[in-house]
Amino acid sequence: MGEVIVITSGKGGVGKTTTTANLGTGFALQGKKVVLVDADIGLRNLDVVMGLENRIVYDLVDVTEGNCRLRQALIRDKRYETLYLLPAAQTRDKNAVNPDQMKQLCLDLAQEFDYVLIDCPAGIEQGFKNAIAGADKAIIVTTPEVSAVRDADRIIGLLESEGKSNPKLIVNRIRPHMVKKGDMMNIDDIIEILAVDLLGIIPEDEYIVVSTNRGEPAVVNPTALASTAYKNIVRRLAGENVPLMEMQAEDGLLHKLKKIFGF
Amino acid sequence: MQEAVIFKGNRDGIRLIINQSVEFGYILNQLKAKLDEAADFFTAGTTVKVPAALSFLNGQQREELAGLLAHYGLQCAECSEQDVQEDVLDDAVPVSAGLRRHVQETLIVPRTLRGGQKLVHDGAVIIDGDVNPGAEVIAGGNITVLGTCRGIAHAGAYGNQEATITAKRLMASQLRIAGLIARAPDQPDVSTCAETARIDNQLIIIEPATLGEE
Repeated sequence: MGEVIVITSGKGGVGKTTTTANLGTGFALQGKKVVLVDADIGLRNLDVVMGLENRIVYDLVDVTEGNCRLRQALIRDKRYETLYLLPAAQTRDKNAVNPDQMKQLCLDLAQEFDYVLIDCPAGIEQGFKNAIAGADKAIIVTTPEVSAVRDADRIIGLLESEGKSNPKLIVNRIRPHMVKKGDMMNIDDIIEILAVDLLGIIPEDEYIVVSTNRGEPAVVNPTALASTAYKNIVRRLAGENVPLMEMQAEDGLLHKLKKIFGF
Repeated sequence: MQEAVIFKGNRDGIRLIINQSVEFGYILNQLKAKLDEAADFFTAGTTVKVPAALSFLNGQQREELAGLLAHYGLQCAECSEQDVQEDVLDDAVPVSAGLRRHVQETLIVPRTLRGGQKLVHDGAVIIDGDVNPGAEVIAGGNITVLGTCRGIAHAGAYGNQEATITAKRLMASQLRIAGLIARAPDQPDVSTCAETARIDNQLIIIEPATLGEE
């Protein structure tokens, strides 16, 4: 029986879909059997980020409504054989599915896959309720911004009231040099407010933009800054003890000059 | 003098508008006169929607009306006023609704279809705009996109293997004709001229469009 993990945040644009795509691909790199479920019905994105948009024939709603079998709706990734995507419907909305259907779907998927990763939509309404319904574990994604942390806190509360305690936290888009200067919230501040276990931190990486546009998760590219961070998170989820990445502020030109001249 | 009956055509087909303040016998006479006059105009088997039929006419009157239309080879379809005003571009029109009718009309859509919008029509469809990624066009007949087609186009959706998909820039993420599906290559090339997709030997092929020639 596999593990069902929902990736959620409350706030939009903090990197839920990117995280889902990268963790899923990361598991596949380790040879695990993974399925990514896009629960953002009506505003699907995960298929685009995975570069699988043009392969969609059936979607999640077709499965729950019985228009097709689950197998028919699963799209195999073009790079990794053990990675699958269950795309969301684009022409429907969140009310096309209910939490009970999602629970059943997750049960069915967990029979066959080692990991079922659910990409949750932003917000706390029907879409969120659907996405968390079948999950055993939750990963909260936040950015070092007050608004994102507020929303993350709200989400943790909602998860607890649904009986899903101990969510794990990923802090995304950290800019070490800003944290160093005190212009950005640091990890300790965030942990202090949210009081949950830290699963990992992802540095800000311009390559994410490139990879999203190409439909190829950044984790595939070993030179990308975020790649190692995602791989570490995957290992932690698999039960390994991996220390947090050392966050070094990138040296600016002035700093380098100072170094050269021995200041 | 006010007309008792008026035929109106729109993208949904032909509607018969009845002046409700006129006596029924007079309506029938007027209708008969009109039909005699324009007998050649209507193709046999055409469905005429009568929006007022349910609310305004009683059972016997409805039968008489349908009988008269049938005499001229026309089918009477009763519908409420609402049905007629309903936008065809509903977010999700069930395919089965389109299956019931067999009238081959061409629907002209004067705008761009955006992601998440789905258009289902049993005849041919002409889109004067683009079909964006995530949008779907499903037609019983041919599909013509005057702009760029980046979404999903399904022509001949009820099994017509002769159906074609034409676009000024054909860059669809998926092309479906009758029961066949073709998807875009993972590294799509930009199309430079108008192209048509059709079935050739049980495969969907794309070739430069020959607009206006046959």
